[in-house]
Amino acid sequence: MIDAIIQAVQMTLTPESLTALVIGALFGTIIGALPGLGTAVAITVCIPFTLKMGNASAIALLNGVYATSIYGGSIAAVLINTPGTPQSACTGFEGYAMAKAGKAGEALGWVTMASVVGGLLSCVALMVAAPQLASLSVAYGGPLEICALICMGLACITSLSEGNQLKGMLAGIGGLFLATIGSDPLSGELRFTFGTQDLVAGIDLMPVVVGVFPLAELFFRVYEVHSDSTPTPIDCRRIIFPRLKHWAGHVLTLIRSSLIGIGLGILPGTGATAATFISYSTAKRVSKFKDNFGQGEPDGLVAAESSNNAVAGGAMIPTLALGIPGEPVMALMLATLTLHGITPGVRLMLDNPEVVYSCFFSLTLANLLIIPAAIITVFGFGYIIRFPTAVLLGIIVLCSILGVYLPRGNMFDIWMALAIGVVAFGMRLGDFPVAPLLIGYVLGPQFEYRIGQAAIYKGDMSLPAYLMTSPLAMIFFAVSVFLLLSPLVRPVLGFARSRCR
Amino acid sequence: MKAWINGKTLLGMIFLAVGLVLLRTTYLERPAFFTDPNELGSLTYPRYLIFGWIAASVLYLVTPAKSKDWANLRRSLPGLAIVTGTIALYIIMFEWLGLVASTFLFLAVFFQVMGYRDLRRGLPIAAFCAVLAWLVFEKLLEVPMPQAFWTDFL
Repeated sequence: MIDAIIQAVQMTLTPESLTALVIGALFGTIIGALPGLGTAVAITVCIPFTLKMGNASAIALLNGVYATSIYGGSIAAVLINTPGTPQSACTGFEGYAMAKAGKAGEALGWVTMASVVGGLLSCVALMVAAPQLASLSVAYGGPLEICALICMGLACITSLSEGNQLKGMLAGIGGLFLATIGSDPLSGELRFTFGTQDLVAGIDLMPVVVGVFPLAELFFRVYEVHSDSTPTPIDCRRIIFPRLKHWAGHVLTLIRSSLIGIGLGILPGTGATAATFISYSTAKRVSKFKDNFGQGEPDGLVAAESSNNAVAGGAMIPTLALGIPGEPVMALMLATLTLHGITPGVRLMLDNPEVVYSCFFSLTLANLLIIPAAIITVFGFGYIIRFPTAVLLGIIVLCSILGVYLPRGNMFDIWMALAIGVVAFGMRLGDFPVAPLLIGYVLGPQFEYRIGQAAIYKGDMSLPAYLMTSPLAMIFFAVSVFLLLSPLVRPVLGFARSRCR
Repeated sequence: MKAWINGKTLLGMIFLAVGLVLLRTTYLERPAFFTDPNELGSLTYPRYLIFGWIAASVLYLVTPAKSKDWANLRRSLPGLAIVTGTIALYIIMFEWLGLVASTFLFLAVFFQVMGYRDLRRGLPIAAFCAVLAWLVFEKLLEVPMPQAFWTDFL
């Protein structure tokens, strides 16, 4: 193992590989910050260039792009409330609130450091435990366990709707329902398309994200301009990194969220977006700063950012060790490795462990490169947000519309984003929380798919007997029930306590 | 009567009506592969969701309303309608005039609508943004964008 690690370090520390890594890191951060482009686009653009490179340089370029593009989305989320990637949606909840309070530099500091630490933790953990974790993911990655895990994420909707549980519930069910439009994930039958071809493939994630965040924000700014309330100017000239003493109280969230990210990264098909929402909502429930969530709480930023960057390392495990891509972006990585004559799978760990360790090593360096890449990108973005409000809002609309159009090249998606934007603005005015809508929409398709799979696996077994086959799933379901019922139980307990007194 | 039908009650009734219409749709759409209604078909899961939606809507209807001042919204409604209309116009133009022309026109109009009347600065910014978007998306990333209708004649 030590020999393989030394060989991997030698492979990665060549001038060619390091140059590829630095270019990849800068390119990934910029592409990630542009709404709608995201990690998949950034990697796809780089694939043709990797064909002219050696194996180590190609891996370095892709890892540089992969790690930093996940982070890049958060810059736009904090500064203009327009998540560059869907994974950055939760970052917008806290980061933009901090930016409005004049703390954009601090917010970006937390985001950057949490991303770096989350990414590094995942790299270290995985370098040590890659083979063992890969086999665990196969043993405990069945539909029932994943279904129970997603159920736990959905149950957190109640904690994200503090004081507005009923409205949160409506928004959450609305999000889950939006995700059912189009074809059924198992049979492929069409549902709720109302005879239009545009809905056959369902509603894409980008129109929902763009509608809920930048377009709703635009309408809200217009509302502020015409009403009595004063619009809040946002300024950011540099990143202000948190000092070591400021981390007290956030370490637990950092470790917990990184572990959630690593765990969900390993499980095939869950992805960084789901991991971010699950760790953010978990933090909102258990954090000692939970009362400040939604008003610009650094703990929320730490939870969201550390988990979405930790997914990067986690997703590498099944991809390299088993040849199973953990998320769609990993399928692209898998394809690129195959083009380079590297066949991921069980034999790769045995025959070419230096390739696996070179992947982890370049991912580690890519995570460290987030800091310089962030400083450069934020300088550019900081200049843009000093533009007059009309110019800034115009650019936001332009980025939003292009961001929605890019993934599918479909005009219908733009109209959908506009409609969702109007609805999200109405929700904001009526005090309906938007986070449950997004959580429902993001986790909905996976949830339905896994329920269907679990129903097939169950066969003729009774439901209790089937549940007994997986103690892990039972624990997850029990926690979900507790999370769902706790908002109802808490007032009853409070009432009983006051009666006792 | 006036006190009974407030904004919240109306919204709750709309939620309920949407739920009932969707529920009816799930019974009208006949699944092609699973003919047994008790089997887990493509509409079973959405139907449970709709039941949940209807239950939540009823609860929303019966819970007491909190008073809210909508005066600001009434004041900003014309501005919001104009901005929404401008974006809708941009989406229509985007398909007909292509990326560069539609973006330039949209930004020029949007700046005026939002009160930025300095044409000497506004027009160059609009032109710069339109060309930059074209360079990044069409040229650099080679994303196929809608082409202006006149390109067919050229």
